[in-house]
Amino acid sequence: MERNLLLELLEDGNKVSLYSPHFEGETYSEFEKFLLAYKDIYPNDVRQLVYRLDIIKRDGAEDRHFRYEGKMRDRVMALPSHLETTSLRLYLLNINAKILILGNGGLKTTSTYQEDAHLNRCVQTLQKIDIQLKQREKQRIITVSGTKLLGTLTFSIDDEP
Amino acid sequence: MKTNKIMDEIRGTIPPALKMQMELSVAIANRIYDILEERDMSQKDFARLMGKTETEVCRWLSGTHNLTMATLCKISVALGEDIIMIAGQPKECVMA
Repeated sequence: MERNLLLELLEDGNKVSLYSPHFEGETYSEFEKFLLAYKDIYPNDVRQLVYRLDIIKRDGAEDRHFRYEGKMRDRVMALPSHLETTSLRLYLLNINAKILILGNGGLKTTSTYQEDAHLNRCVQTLQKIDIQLKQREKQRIITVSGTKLLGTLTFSIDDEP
Repeated sequence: MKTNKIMDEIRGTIPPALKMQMELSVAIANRIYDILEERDMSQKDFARLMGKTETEVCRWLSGTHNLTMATLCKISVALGEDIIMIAGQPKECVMA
């Protein structure tokens, strides 16, 4: 099923800005949905994740701060939680270490995300966005200007797994 | 600067001690990373030096790992460099 989304700017920072896909008809963006789903169940993990993003916004989004996920050809990465014992994972796209497109995520209880239907869908959504984003960057329909995405930020993706 | 309302609410609940802990973890990882960069040492070589896997070393450098005192000291000794300094103590006391 084709669904429309907007890459919504959540926060801008000195070195990194945060965007998130916001599907048409929904109240919250994907990252906001992730926060709302887990902030009361795993409050410490979510606090650490939010503060981690603050540090990244301030200092930069170098690859070594993330876990590589997805495939070699895409820009999908993950942020693990920091000090707690849960395996909460947030999936995101890292664009030139200047823009993070924060998706959704959840608890990783399987060896790979592909084995978990929810996590797999989170990653696939970002991969589909990444494919179209790269095409638009190539066609100059979207440009990366510092920490900003400029251009047509609405997308239509097939959201079926 | 634009901020997100839900993130702001969560920020308001982060204890200062947790912020300090996370800042220290990142600062330590950055210090180790900078030393490796200065030496032109790859993560692979560093892992070999420490007798660890690249995966483990990658975790150390992510800024999200809770390094033990023992591991910090082993890294300091292996690299011959201070990773952390204690406020108010002369250097000799740290790397005796």
